[in-house]
Amino acid sequence: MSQFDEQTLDLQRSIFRSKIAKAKRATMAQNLADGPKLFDQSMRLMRDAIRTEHPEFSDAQIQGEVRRRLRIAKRIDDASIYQDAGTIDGQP
Amino acid sequence: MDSLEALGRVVTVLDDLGIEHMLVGAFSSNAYGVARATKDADFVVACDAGAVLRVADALGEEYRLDRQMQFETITNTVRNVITHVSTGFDIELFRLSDDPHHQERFRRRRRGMVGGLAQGVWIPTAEDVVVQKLRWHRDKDLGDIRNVIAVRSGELDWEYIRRWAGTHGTLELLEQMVASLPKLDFLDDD
Repeated sequence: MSQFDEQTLDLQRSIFRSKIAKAKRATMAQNLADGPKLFDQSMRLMRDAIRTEHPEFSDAQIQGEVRRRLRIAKRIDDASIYQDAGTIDGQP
Repeated sequence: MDSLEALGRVVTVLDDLGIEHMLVGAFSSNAYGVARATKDADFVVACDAGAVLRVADALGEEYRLDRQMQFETITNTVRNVITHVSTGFDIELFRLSDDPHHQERFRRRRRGMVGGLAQGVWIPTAEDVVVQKLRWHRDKDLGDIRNVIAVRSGELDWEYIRRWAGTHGTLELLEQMVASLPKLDFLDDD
């Protein structure tokens, strides 16, 4: 392993230890609330990025693009695990 | 309404309808490990399809039920997705299956409070989070497992985890993950 690789590995371990130490200090209530809060923050960042890239977009178009990206992320997450199983009310 | 409030509304509706439930997925690994953003809240619910429709009705127009169901092929559970329209936050309802580990996980669930919500939520134990995520073992699941093991080092019931991992054929993966963790002894002094 090169000196550069060793330094990178040391840095990764240091970041991991720091992350774990911080998490051990947080309460369960904080951690449970952080998931949706971080999601809302990431959605705001995504909307801002789309607005910067497409200044001509209306709010509705930006929201549509956000929904499109979320659908893509969900398809990737689900691809290896889920299969369609009909509709909940039995209707086509 | 933000995503946390959208989640709280679902918990209230499930409680009001008398549907036993448990919050799993990233929320449960956040509870015991390192919090990360999650685009959905996964609930295990002990009810039938009719009750899921009643949940969707009770949530009202701010939520949209996807009538398409999905079958989860690893543990044989059925999923329905309800989206909170304005935030895009998904609520996934997994009906409690006959899977032996799912049954035991549901029996062992515990109540936890969520910062910012008045009501508590039911969550699995840390051990059951590790066991379930080992079964899925997607990249994000493996990251969550590492974090839960590291944060809860010294507190986990390893006999329980190894028993189920052995049953599910994920014991080798578990041992690889434990061996790959950096030494964290210094954290015991905190």
